[in-house]
Amino acid sequence: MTWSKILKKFKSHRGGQVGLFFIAVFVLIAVFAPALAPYDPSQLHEGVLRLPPIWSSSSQAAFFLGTDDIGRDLLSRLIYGARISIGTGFFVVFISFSIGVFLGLLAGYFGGKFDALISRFVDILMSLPSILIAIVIAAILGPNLVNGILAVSIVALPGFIRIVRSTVMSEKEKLYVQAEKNFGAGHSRILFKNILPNCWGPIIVQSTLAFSDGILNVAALGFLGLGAQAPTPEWGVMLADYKPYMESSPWLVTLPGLCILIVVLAFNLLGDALRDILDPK
Amino acid sequence: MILKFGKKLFSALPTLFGVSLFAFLLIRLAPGDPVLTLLGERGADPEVYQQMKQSLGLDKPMYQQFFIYLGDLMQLDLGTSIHSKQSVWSEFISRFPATMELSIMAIIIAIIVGLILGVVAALYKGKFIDTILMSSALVGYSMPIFWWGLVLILIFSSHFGITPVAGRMSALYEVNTVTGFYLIDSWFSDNPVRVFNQALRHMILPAIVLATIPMAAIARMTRSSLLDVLKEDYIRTAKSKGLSSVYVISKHALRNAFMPILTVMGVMFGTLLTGAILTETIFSWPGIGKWILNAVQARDYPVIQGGVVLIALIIFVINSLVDFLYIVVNPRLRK
Repeated sequence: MTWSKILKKFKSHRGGQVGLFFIAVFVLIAVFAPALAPYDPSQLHEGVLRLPPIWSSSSQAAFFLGTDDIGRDLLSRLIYGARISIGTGFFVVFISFSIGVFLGLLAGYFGGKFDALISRFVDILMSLPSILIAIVIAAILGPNLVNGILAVSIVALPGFIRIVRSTVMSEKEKLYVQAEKNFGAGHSRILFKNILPNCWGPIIVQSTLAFSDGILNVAALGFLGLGAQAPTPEWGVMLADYKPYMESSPWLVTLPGLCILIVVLAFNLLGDALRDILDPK
Repeated sequence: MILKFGKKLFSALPTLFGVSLFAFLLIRLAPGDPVLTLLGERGADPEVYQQMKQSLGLDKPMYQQFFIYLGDLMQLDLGTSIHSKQSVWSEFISRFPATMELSIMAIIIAIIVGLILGVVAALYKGKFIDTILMSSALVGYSMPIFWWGLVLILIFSSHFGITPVAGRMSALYEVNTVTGFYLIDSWFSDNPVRVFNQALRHMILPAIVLATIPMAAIARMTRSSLLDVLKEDYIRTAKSKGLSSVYVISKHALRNAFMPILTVMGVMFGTLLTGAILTETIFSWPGIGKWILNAVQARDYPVIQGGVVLIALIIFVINSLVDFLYIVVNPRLRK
């Protein structure tokens, strides 16, 4: 499918546009966080503990979304949180994409023992709840943001491996691959020049969905105390930190969670749209 | 048909073996000495250290450890929890009904509500109701459930005060454990109606939280597979015979749309157990999700190792049951 065709279809897909819009907004926030945030996210402001947001009567104009339990500006923390969330999503997709696509290509193309081994590995990862594997790996490696990202990337591998493997298996039987073989092309040429370009549709869809899953799982790890750690303004960590104050200061738990929901929703909207356009069944 | 089923069971053995190996290796490949982690940083007495190492079986070579572990596993001996000194199996069994009861409740909610929403959306395809329902379904599907639980607690427990915040039962009542399912056991207590009421109130919020994602997935699947079926010729025939649309939907369309929905439900049970870890943490629900998370946080290695294998086993059993149901529902698969 050509670019202009994809673009034309995307123009009539409202959900995908809304998703892309919100993703763009959050990516911009993430990139320009230092310029956008009114304060340093870890700066303590004296005398303004758990100040409510601007729409409440007892608020102060200087703190748009209020302050937290030790007087940090909530808006600034949420803005820097976007940086962490978008960043984690990116790294999760980058790691699981590179390894997953590579393993999937080899397994699908060569088959045999290597394929059996990889498929077994996928089966094992799929036979357990993803968050359980992530929790155990993160806990054993030691709870911090980097290990959390690694753990979540491992969990995201099967999705890529399976989709690439099955696409390659159906592509390699097609005539153009046989023709290429008869012309004496080597394995790597067939794999990367002929087969891979025909797999992009499903891979792009999978990447978008892995992005939202990755953000969600890393936030869940942070919430459980097994991902990023306390002073980091990660949205999941913030939820856990502010949970004790949720009755007296409900905005402290409402807003970080809302941010997670919007970002995840945006990626799912885009993923749905891309699936309709690139990978119709 | 039975033969096919047996073959399927047999083919899963390598995967279960792999999970056991995975659980075994994970703990042994962890950086740092597990014995030291357990004894703390204070620098243990060498004698205590040796004793601990021996009791964990870590003094033998790795391959021997693995065979001992596999042999024990065959006899359902999963070792002893380091912290509670109870066997992992008995700890698991005492917590399993709580998770099962919550999961069953959640899947019932998810199926009933998800089916209704999906059918309504399909009937009003392209209309305003359809847009609203499908947007809500996507929101539900994207929900960070650990936050959703907190929001529901804020609304229903803090603001309206109609549901309790945590646990399975208020401390005022006692439940005699018969089945381990409090909604059933409550009828054997001294004050059945009140205890049942309490059990239900404790369960309703966690069940809704746990049901959210499967409900959204079922609604989406129901809508799309129903729309596929409604295009078929036999539906047009049924309609042209003058049958009411309720009859056509319930008798002809839903029955055929059911296969993809069933697939989603099977996959969903694994998701449900994933959700159980988060949901049980938020609501202090004494089930296996919270149990295994506590074990991870306390580095109780035998519990982590045994718990992972047991959870894989449950998911496998449930998926097999769904496969079986599949064959029962769809006669075309019986050959």
